[in-house]
Amino acid sequence: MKINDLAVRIGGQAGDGSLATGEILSRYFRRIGFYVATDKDFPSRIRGGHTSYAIRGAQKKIYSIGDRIDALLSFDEDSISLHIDEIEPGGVVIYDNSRKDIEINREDIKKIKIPLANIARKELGIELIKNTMALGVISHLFHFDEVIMKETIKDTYKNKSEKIIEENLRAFDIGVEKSKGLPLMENYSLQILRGEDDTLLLMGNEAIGLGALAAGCRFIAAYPITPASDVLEFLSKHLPERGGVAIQAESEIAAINMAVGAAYAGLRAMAVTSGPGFDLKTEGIGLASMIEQPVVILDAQRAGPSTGLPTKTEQSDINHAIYGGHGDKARIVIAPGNVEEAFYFSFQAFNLSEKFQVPVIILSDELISWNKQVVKKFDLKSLKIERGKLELNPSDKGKEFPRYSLEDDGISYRTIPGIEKGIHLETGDEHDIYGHITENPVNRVKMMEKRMKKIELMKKELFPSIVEGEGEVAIISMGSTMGPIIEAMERLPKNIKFIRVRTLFPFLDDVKENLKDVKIAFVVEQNYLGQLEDLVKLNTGFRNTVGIRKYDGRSFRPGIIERKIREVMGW
Amino acid sequence: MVNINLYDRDTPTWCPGCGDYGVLTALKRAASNLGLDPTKTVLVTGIGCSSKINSYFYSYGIHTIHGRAAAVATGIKLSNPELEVIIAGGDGDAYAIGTEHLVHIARRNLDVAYIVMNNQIYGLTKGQVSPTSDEGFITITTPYGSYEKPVNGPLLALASGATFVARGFSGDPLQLSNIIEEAIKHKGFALVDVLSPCVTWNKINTYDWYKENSYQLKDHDPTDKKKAFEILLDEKFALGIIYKKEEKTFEEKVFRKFVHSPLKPIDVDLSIEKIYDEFR
Repeated sequence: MKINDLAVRIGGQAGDGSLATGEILSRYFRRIGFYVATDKDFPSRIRGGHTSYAIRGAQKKIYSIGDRIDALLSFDEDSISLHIDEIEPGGVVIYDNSRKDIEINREDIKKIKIPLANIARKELGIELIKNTMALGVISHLFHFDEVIMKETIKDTYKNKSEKIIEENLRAFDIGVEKSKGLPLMENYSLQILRGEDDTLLLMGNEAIGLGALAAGCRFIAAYPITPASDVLEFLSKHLPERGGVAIQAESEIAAINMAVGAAYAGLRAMAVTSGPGFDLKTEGIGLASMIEQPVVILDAQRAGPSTGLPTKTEQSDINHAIYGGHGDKARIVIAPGNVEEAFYFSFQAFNLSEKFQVPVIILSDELISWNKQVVKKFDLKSLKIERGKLELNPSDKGKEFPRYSLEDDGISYRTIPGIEKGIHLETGDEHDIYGHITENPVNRVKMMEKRMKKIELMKKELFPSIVEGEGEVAIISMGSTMGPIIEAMERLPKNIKFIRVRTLFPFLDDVKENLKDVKIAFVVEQNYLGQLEDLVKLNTGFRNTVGIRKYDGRSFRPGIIERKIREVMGW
Repeated sequence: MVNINLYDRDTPTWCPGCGDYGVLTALKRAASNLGLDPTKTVLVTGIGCSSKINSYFYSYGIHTIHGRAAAVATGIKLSNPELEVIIAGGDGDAYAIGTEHLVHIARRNLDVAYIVMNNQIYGLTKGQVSPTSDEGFITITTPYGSYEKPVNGPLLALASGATFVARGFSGDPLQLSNIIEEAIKHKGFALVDVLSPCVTWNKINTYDWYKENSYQLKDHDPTDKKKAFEILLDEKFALGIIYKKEEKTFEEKVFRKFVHSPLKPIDVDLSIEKIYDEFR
């Protein structure tokens, strides 16, 4: 008996509506009080090509779709060939055989063939509505609460016409009707837990957008790129009503420089991108470091280099985020591990960037950016806007404001254009305290030291690692891999200490302390070269590491991590 | 009208005789005539000799990176539309490494003026060919003569949707200051291409050469766009305001309700709770 944990994969050709079906299913899970994790897998094209969407709902807190699925809803043949082995014994495959009837070779699962598209066309005259019909089938098989499911459908389509809502509800009923007599999934039990009112279901990109809004970000410039565009789209909708600006720039380079300009003019500003665009932003980020302007940059990592796998996940921009660009520069690189953190990190990124007058890079990956998770409504009362040494009403300091004055902590007072008594220059050239260009070596040393001094100072306020468990065997990771790691740990027979690094630059000293009694550390990351592993070794001196790496564009599964650790440890 | 000395800043380090002195003088005179408040003016520049102009002109100034002045200026103007934002730089900035931004700032009709000091050579890097150098022009990187046709900057700006296009000559700072004044006053994107000789590296396109190869626009109706295109296709350089038309600016379209001013303190935006409904 499997209780309160169900993973469903919906597969079909792009345009079949797998994502829409998955959206309703994940909303249903939230409504009954479950946590949710999702994983999108689709090709970089508009129509056609196999697409699949995995949705898992569970009573326990989950961040991963897990190893196996319980149900496969397939609208095309590819779904069967690609995912049939993924089904848990005792699970079910529902195959829409309208297009083609095929042999399904698994004896340990239930096999249901039903011509959903044909029925949809015949009964409602709309083939695409087969999706909602399929939800009726799943609901019946797994004893979903039909009232809640119908509420969910209504709510999902609330901005559509009455007619569309009616059609979908009708399609759902037909799906339920047609399933009568099919073998029920009696080996599964999903209880209605409720308690839904204080939760939200959203993906990382939306959480980042919300965090930015909450922080008072009023400017975003971006060039469309997968998987970061959602943030631009979200803020394009919500910034104008707040007197802010969302601009689709002519290029990645334009976008970062516009954001730097906005920050200079005093707005909280951000630019969002993924690897290829992040490459192009390097010079602009360097400018922000040199003129000490606060700007927030999201790099939602995807598989690289170059165009790589545009719609697939990876964590291979770590080195670039930390080291990218010429010259020595102060910056902050933080990596949220889940959707909830994506919100709070996004909010705090704006505070940190203003306090330390540096660019802050939020390093997410495609999985966090797109993964829909259920989170508690954000605790806005716990948040505070901190703008550091911004002077909106400076005292008279002479004809020019000493924008780069040498203070003990390295952080100068900052003012913005439009303010009386604030006139000064800013330049990417080396400059004196008024921002005037100078090549004087004494000044150069002072200014360099002033900017670099901030790195040590900011360490105190950055996000320490999250440590779970105790033991001589450790797992180290960053970002989205926390989901499968936590589940792998539950299955392993011995204690494990899990260290999730959340600040990549400057690297914090706590990682070294946490490794004090550790004998061996597995570093789990989604890249080939082991960029995180190198970073840990470099900064902690800890040598006995084993890399668990994945670079096929797909996210980790708990089983991969579990098997590798068992193999190395002889467990 | 304010005292022109208000805009004095550092002493320029340009070579004696550099065309950019004329531009600086013209800019100061225009600012003085317009009574520009230095605390509400931002002079945004790129990289190169000409881009150092904000070290010599007293106002807020930001000296950015090569080619990106227009993009930075876009961010500034959209953050605080009340600022007078002026962009200045060279032909490399505007017509080579930063061409994309010229096209797009023009089509947006952002309310800023862009002064391009065009000397048809790369000066600060010591004499390489520029995007506006004539075909056959010999430099250290084109010892056999340039193989490329020059970019026609004002024509490009006009084709991209600029609502003010003019050309001046730094050998005539009085006319230039009038043009710059009009450009700053113009509501919308204004491009001012200035023939501004490099006395050190360009021995061909000299003050005398420009005098011979330019002419004053007379009895020209600057609202006639077709005529403006024709003028810009002339072999010789027309001097004066070539095109001018009032159109809605980008800011007017963007800020339909109100503008969030960066000069005011901010609080945690609790109104995001109203968006929660999207996530249920």
